[in-house]
Amino acid sequence: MVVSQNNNNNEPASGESSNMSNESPNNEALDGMDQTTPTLDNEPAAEDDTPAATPPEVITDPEDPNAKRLSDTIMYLIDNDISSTASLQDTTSPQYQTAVWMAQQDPKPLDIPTSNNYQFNQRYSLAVLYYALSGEGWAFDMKWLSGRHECEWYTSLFLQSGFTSFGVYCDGEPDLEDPDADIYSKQRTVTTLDFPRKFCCVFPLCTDLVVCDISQHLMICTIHS
Amino acid sequence: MIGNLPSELRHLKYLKSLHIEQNEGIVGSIPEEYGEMENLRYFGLVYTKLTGKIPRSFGGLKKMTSLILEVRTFC
Repeated sequence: MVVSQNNNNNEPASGESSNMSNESPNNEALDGMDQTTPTLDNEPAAEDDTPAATPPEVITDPEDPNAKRLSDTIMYLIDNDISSTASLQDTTSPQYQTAVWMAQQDPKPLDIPTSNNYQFNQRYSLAVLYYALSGEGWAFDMKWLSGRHECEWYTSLFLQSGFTSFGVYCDGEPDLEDPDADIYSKQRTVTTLDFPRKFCCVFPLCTDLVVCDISQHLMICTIHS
Repeated sequence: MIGNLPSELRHLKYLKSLHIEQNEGIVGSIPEEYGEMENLRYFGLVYTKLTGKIPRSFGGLKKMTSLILEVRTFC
C-alpha cells in the first residue's frame, strides 16, 4: 500500500528538530529490531536518487576532463586544509574515495571551487563520514551520495511514537514556491546529524511497519506486514 | 556503522547536534578537531566502541550543554 500526499513542511530539515533534545533523541520504540532493510517497494527511484556508493573506477586518463576534476579536487582539499595530504594520497582512504566521488561520480556535481567554499566542504565532509563509517552497509536508505542536496540526506519513519527522522537536518529551506528555483542556489547549513539507537535495524515489534519517505517534500509511505 | 569518526566533520561549523547511538562498529577515538565546531550544543555518542579521552579542545566549546558518552559491552 502506498500513500502519497503533499508535504511542504520539510520539518526535519528545519534546524534543531523537535526530536532533538538533550535526552538522546529518537530512541523510543526502536528496541528489538531485526536486520531487515526497509525499502520503498515498487517505488521507482528518481534518477538522481541512486547513490554512487560503490567505490567507483577512478578515471585517470589525462585526456579525460574527469581526471583533471579529480586532481583539481584533491588540490583544493589540500590547499584549503580540508583533509590531510596523506589521507588524499591513500587511495583506500575515505577522503580519497570521497574526492573521487565528488569529482567524477556525484550525480549532482559541484564546481570545484577556486577558494575555500563552505557548501563544497559541507557536502565533502558528509560524504567522508559516509565512506568512513561504511555507509554502503547502512540499513536505511537515506539517499546519501545521491544527487539530492546533502540537506536531503535523511529519511523519516513512522513509529509507534509518531514520525521520527534521522540523518542530516539543516537550517535554510529550498524555495518550494518556485519550481524553477535551483535548490543549490541557497545556502543551507547542516545543524544536526542524528543516527539514533538501533539505526542498524528495523522493527519486528510492530505488527505493521510503516516506512515513509518525506525527504523530497512528498510523503510516500509503504506498509510492511 | 563501522569505522573511525573522520576529523572532516569539523568543517560543519554550523553543527549544533551530533547524536550517534548504539553503533558498536564505531571505533577509535573522538577527533581532537571536533573542538573546532564552536556551535556544538549537543554531543552524544552512546554505545559505541570508542576509546580514548575526551578531547581537550572540547573545553573551548562554550555553547555545549550536553555531552553524553556512554559505553557498554553488549548490544
